[in-house]
Amino acid sequence: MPDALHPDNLPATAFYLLAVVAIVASILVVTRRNPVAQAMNLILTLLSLAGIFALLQAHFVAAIQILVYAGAILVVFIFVIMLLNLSDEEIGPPRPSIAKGLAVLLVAAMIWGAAVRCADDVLAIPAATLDPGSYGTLASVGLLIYRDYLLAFELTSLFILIGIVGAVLLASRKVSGGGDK
Amino acid sequence: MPISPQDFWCSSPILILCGFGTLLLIVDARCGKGPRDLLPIAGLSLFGLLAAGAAVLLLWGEFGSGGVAPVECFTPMGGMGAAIRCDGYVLVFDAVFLLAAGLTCLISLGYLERMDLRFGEFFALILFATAGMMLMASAMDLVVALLSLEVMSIALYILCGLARTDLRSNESALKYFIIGAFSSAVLVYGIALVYGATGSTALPDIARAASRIDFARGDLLLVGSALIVTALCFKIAAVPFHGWAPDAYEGAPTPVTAFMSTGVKAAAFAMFARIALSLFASYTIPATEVLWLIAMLTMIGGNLAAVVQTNVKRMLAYSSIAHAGYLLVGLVAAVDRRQTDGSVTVGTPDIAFYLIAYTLMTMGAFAVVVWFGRRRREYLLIEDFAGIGFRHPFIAIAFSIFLLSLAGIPPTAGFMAKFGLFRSAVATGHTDLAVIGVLTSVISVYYYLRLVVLMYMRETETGITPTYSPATTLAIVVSGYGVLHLGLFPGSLWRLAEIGAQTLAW
Repeated sequence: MPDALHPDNLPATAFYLLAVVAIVASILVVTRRNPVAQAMNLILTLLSLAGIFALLQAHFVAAIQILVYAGAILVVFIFVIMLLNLSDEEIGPPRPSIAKGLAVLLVAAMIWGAAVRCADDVLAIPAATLDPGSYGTLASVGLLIYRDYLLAFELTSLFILIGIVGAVLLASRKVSGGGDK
Repeated sequence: MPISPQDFWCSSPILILCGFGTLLLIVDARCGKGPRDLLPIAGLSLFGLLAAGAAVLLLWGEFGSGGVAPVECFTPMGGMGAAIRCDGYVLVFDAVFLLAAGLTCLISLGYLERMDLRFGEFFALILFATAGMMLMASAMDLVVALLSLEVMSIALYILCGLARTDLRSNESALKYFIIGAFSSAVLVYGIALVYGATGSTALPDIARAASRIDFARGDLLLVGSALIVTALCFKIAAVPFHGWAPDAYEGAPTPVTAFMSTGVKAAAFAMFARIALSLFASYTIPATEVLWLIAMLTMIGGNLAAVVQTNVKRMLAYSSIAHAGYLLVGLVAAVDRRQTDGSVTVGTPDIAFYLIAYTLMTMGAFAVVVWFGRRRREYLLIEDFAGIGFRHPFIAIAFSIFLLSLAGIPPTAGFMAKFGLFRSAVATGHTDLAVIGVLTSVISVYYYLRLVVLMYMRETETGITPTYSPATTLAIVVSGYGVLHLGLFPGSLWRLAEIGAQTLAW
């Protein structure tokens, strides 16, 4: 299709390519049995999402997506998978069930409801007034985090503090009176 | 508007709790871990709760009298809505959370020592969870609501798994964590779709935008709202989203179970009411019908399942599911009235009053269960309570009062609270729900009274000899007094709840 490669259509072509990759890879994350294959597909999903962010001019978010999610978090995932080193017997054979089939149907219905029937709703919303000069830049993201969503940002720090307390409490080896005999 | 000292003053209960929580972590790291360090740490946390309570009282003096308009706090400069809000409704709920947290601290004093659990982090996490609950009640933005929900939930996942060598505790923490994470994901998806439909995450903007969306074309808002309601139903353990609750409640350390079934329920309902009254501010979505169905299923399902339980903690878990059903009746009334004439003062004061009464009676019942524990041993089977009416008459009387109140028998707080909810349901034309509520309450009388009958009608040779804990006894006395006082003289508190609901409007 020559039209797809026309300079005006390139962003749309890139979007559809990335979207298909993201959806297919995310389905594979759920359906593959091997944890390493799942993690690799998750990386693919996250990378294509980063591409979509970049297409939306959110370059900073795209970079963070690659650094934090595809980089740091997935590395931790793979460390855990390697440490557990599950054999095929431990993972077990696939078990299809009525509940799973029902869940797939429900999710399909939901995606249809959200994506197909609601496409008009999304288009009906006037695009937010964006300043093309600053949109997606580090400065505008910084202002959003540290000014507009300041309380939410502070809440995440409280959230992380509690998470650390939990990790120390539940995972520490030596416990004085921690319910261990 | 830049952040002003007023913002800090209005959020001072939350800040005090976070401060004391952090202080407890530092003190715990510096102190020893021996049993004699328990009292100072528990004392410090109770002092923190009292300080937050004092702040709530002072704020109530300022906003609760109705003279001063509610204050929007942390209004960002970018022209978006406020992050949180300080009004009478929030302050009433703050009091409920502090009551639940304070009673939890009291009953856990003896419990933690007996069960050899770590106490430093326990009290810090209770304080952090309470701060999260307060934020949930006051959140005016879906992003802040989600984050405060997570602050509370994460603290509770950890508390559930506190007894690390107890497999049931591990199971409870893991189940609660996985279901909690799952429902949070559903909530995020719902928030994203609602943002797509309305262009905002601020509740007042959502309410305004939702009223402009045509019902026939409001699919995006419909799917988003459905996902948000589903996620919140998981949090309040409404049927059919309740499967996790009995296992999580049974395995968690008993004071944590008490805190989960009172504080968490109150916080989730405070948030649910605010979000539902914004999303369903006008008739764009058939919300009352859906909530009606969930309320009916929850009342019937919770009560029927509670009948067959033999474990007191499981029975109280199912009873807490059933009570979520009664509370949903109030929410149906509130949403119905909101859609008819935009007012928010029907149903919401009943929900607040019910949660105060429910917190007192459930905390009392759990305090009795804790009271009968021994070193590294708890008596949780219904049979274990046989004959205690003869051996521990005062505790048995208190337990009977709590159970009668849970069943909704006058002259206890439970009766007045249920009466208020069903009155609102009838006033908004939902007589059918009130009838179902009364009928299922009759079912609940069976399983609550079965315990009372066992306590007084059957004598046993070998009985429990509990380890005496003055703090737990104090908690029982306080809740018992509260339940009777609210049952006999509900007027003053009812008035407070109504004033709170009047300031809810935005």
